[in-house]
Amino acid sequence: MKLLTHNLLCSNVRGLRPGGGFPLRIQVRACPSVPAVEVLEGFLQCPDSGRQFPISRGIPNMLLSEEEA
Amino acid sequence: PPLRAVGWDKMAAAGGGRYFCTAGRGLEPFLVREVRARLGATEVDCISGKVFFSTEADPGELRKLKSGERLFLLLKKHTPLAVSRNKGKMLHGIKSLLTEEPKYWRDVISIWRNLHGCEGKKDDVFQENPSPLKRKSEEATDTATKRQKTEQVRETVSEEHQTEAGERCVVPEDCQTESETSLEDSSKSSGEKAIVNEQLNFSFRVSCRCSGAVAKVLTSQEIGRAVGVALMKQCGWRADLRDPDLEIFMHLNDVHSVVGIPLFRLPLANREYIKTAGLRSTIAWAMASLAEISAGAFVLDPMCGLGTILLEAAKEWPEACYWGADISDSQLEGADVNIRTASLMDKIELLKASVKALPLPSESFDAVISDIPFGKKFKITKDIQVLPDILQEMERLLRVGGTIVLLLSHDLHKRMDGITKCAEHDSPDAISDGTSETTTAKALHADGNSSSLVNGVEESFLRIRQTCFGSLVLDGVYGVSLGKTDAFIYKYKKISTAGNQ
Repeated sequence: MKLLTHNLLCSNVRGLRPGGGFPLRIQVRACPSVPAVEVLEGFLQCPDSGRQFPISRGIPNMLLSEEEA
Repeated sequence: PPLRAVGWDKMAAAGGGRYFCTAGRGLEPFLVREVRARLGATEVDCISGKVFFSTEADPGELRKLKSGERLFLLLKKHTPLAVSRNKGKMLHGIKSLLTEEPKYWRDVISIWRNLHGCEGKKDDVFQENPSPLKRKSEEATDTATKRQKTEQVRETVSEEHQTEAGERCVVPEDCQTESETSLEDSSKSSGEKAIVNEQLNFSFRVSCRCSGAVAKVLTSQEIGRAVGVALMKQCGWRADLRDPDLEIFMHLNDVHSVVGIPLFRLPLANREYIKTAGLRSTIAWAMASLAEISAGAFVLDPMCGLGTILLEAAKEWPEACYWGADISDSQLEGADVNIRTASLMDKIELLKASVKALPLPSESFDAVISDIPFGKKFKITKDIQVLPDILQEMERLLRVGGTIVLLLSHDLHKRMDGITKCAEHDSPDAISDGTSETTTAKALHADGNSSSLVNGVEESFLRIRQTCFGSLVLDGVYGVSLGKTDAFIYKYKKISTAGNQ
């Protein structure tokens, strides 16, 4: 997942405050001194609900469960 | 290097060549536009599913054509053959199409070699005695049948316009025996023939397709055989069914008699940059060409599958940013491989997400392009009831002035057509007037079926009309062939935000 995609992605969990789903926090197990330009493995976290969306092989999984949607 | 002018029927005087390109049904207008834009083509004619054009572009440029099927150098284009009950007379007429001075055929080969120099085919012109003449007749026939079958299948999938006879023909083994005899024959200008043989141990194959009045008298096979023999006698070439140097294509129908040589071994629709195609690449490209993608545009395919549409778009319009979403892991994996194979990782990003609820901000995309999967393989089921949600999401994501391009099955098209027509008749003060609703209901009730499934489907289409078609304006519908079925490309422009009408 590249920076530009991160600029667009927002959490679509139900019941968030207006604008509460953006921007998603990037969580990677990376060296803190090296900025993450492209995330291959990690998580995006919804700032409002705390819900984590996994990133695997560079592809973020934004699918919500039936209950969340 | 420009091609030499050699007195062809239609070749431009100062260099360049005249070509014709076949197209899948419905893609001809796209091909016409493309040859003009990409190749600066002139004298563009679209007849009988083929686009004829002249251009000075080299084979490297010609290979880049995206909306055509097979590209040929034009040798002959004449009015349709005079049809007669007399087979011999007809065959004579056909053979005379190709009767030329030896210099003509030497020029054909020289031009062919210029063209194929681009493909890097090895020059095996000075090969030793050909093995085909030693081949057993059964082997040759099997190969002929196999080739015939493969080409028939390819032909059916890619090209059918009119109801063609559809038979592909290759020169059968018995003609090779004849050619041995004719080579040994020393009566007619054998000296020249011997020289020609020495210099050009050249192999060929004749492929003939005929339909209309001609097909009622002769089969493609009979024509191919007769023409093959005639060419062997004229030029001293040998027939090779499996891997000829040169293919001669003949298309004979009620509109014209056309002879050409294919420029490339593989159809144009085979993209070397696509590992696994989903949607046919020509149609994917055509859809992208409607989306008005400009530099810096954000483009989304929310049901991207293997990513074919995004690949075609990113390859042609690389100065935009592309996103693909899908719910299937296996499709996303395939799309990922495709993107890497095409070296487009910088341009196309993937997400696992549902088109019904995309995690993307409103009015953030300039174009949304998608192949709607419903109703293609099966009749419309209750899956269709999510279509309003899908269209609503697409409309939400689109900037005002943006473009939606969708591929719909035949069944979906029939219903969308009904909705669109009703939406056009809607007026702002028709709220209490039930007329437009009734018209829609009538259009959809054509089946006369009153099951709950049908009612659910109708409700869905009513919802589409109510939610979307205030802000989306239909800007074109294009019928295309997917081989066995038909589909329709729909183009919409967003003129305002939904709810602000």
